[in-house]
Amino acid sequence: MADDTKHEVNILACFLLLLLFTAAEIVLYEVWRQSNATGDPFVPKFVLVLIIFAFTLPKAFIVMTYFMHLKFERVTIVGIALVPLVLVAIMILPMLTDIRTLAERNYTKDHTLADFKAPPDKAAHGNSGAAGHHEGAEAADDEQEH
Amino acid sequence: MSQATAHDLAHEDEGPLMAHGSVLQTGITNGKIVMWLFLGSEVMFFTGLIGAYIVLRFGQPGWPRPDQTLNVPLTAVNTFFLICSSVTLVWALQSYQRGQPAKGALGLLATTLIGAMFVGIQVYEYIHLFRNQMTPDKNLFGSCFYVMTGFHGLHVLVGVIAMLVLTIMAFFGKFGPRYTQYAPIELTGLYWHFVDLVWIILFAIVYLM
Repeated sequence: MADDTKHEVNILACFLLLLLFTAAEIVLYEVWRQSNATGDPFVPKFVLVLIIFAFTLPKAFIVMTYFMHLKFERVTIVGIALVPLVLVAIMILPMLTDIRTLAERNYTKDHTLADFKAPPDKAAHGNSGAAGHHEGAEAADDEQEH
Repeated sequence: MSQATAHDLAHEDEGPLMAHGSVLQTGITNGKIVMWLFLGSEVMFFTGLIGAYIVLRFGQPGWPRPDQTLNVPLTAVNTFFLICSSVTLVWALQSYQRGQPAKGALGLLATTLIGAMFVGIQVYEYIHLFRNQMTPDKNLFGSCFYVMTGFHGLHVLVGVIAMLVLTIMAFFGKFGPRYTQYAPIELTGLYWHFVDLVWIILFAIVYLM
């Protein structure tokens, strides 16, 4: 039974995998950023986000499973760890429709800090709250599209 | 982290766990259950922040590009440091389990130093951003960024303090190869790895999305 108490984790393998996934994320993001700067990104941004998450989830899995030893824990502990994840899923689900609607409207475009600045005519009218800000950003979008 | 079975714990007759009757019938120590419940509440806490960020980000037509505002390469290096700190902590725990307290203490010291380095780099990043007028009240991105990374940084800071205490205890020979002797490292390690886990997700969402 003593052997059951101490589970050796292959630290080097875990470390290399985490390093590999992190490096892949950053390289991918940098390549996308540079291709986007030329006006021709090699994949749409939402695909990039999906790919980055595809790299992030295995990292989270490795930390939970091996570093936090969930793989070797009793069902009770695994249950305690999983309950919040179920609650998280329940919390995220109602947001999905909003996120989808908003993403279809906004997320395919690329923005800069300049988008936050209202055009001069809007600024002259006092930049009245969120509505003015929104219109200013849309105007900037139109400029980018052309 | 490493799991002590009911059989193992039951035979630690002189250990403080049995002395205080804190081994449940499940065979899991009170400390571990409490830590996991705490981490469960932390999951909800950070999910609330991340969920709010995602909705706000998609809902805002003009969202700054992170690479034009934040120092992504520096933070990537910082992410690497935090991953390294988790690795050194696992190494420290395994060293204690193998009966190598010197290596264990060294691992704890390395974890503390790397964690402190992470906090230091984050403070440097904040100073740099403030000098560039990227303040929490600048825009939605600013407030979301500081709230999410700030709360995470606070968690790391608490972890660093805990690691420092463990390191000092380690150099005084307070830990050993038996479960009851290295349990504090295991429990603090759970917290530390969780903080690492949160950063892995935050880095992807805040810096790369």
